[in-house]
Amino acid sequence: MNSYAIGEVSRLLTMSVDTLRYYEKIGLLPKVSRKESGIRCYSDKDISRLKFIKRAQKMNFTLAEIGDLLKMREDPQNARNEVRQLTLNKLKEVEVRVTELDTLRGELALLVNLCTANKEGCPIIEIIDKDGLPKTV
Amino acid sequence: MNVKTVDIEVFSSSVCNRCQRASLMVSALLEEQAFDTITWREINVVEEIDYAVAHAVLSTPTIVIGGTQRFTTLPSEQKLRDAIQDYMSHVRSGNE
Repeated sequence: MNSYAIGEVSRLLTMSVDTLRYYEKIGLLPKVSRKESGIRCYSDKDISRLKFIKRAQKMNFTLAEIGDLLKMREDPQNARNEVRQLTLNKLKEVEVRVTELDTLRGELALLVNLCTANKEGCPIIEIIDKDGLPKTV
Repeated sequence: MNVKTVDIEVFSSSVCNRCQRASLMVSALLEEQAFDTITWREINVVEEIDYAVAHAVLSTPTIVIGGTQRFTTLPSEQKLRDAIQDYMSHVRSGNE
């Protein structure tokens, strides 16, 4: 099993050292094992858990929600009903987001292909002209 | 025998020469074969981008026959004719 120092984890996951310590303090991460000198040693399991936290944060889940999701992740069979329900709700949110992103990807891919193919004009500019640029403050 | 209407959709953009050729080819082909049950329309992907994305159109011209994407570039006249006839035969066999 691999072991990582806090600095390595920070670089690997682009999370600050303070954030890593904070997650441990509030219990999002179980107490990280330490060397005799007191230096933290993160395991692969810790890394996996941190990656999950990062992904969930990108989906705008709160730290409290992430805590519940982690309980489900740890022991899906014995999770409490409310945690199961929360996970189900979050799954639905993720699916909606994936659908929206998929549509956006298709739209952007089409526009990029049109721009690449046409020397005389660019549909992206046509669309911006039609819809107008976002107002700036 | 009732033959189901074949909808042909030509997804095009305003500055695409091949798109014009695709539309002309479809139009001429349907006239020549006298399939009066077949309807077709040209769709400008910039004006109907949501519709184009819903049909997974990524380039122009794209030709959709009976709801299925059949060509993502300008086909030869023969290939287009074959595709329409192929679809019509499926429709006919479904109606029998």
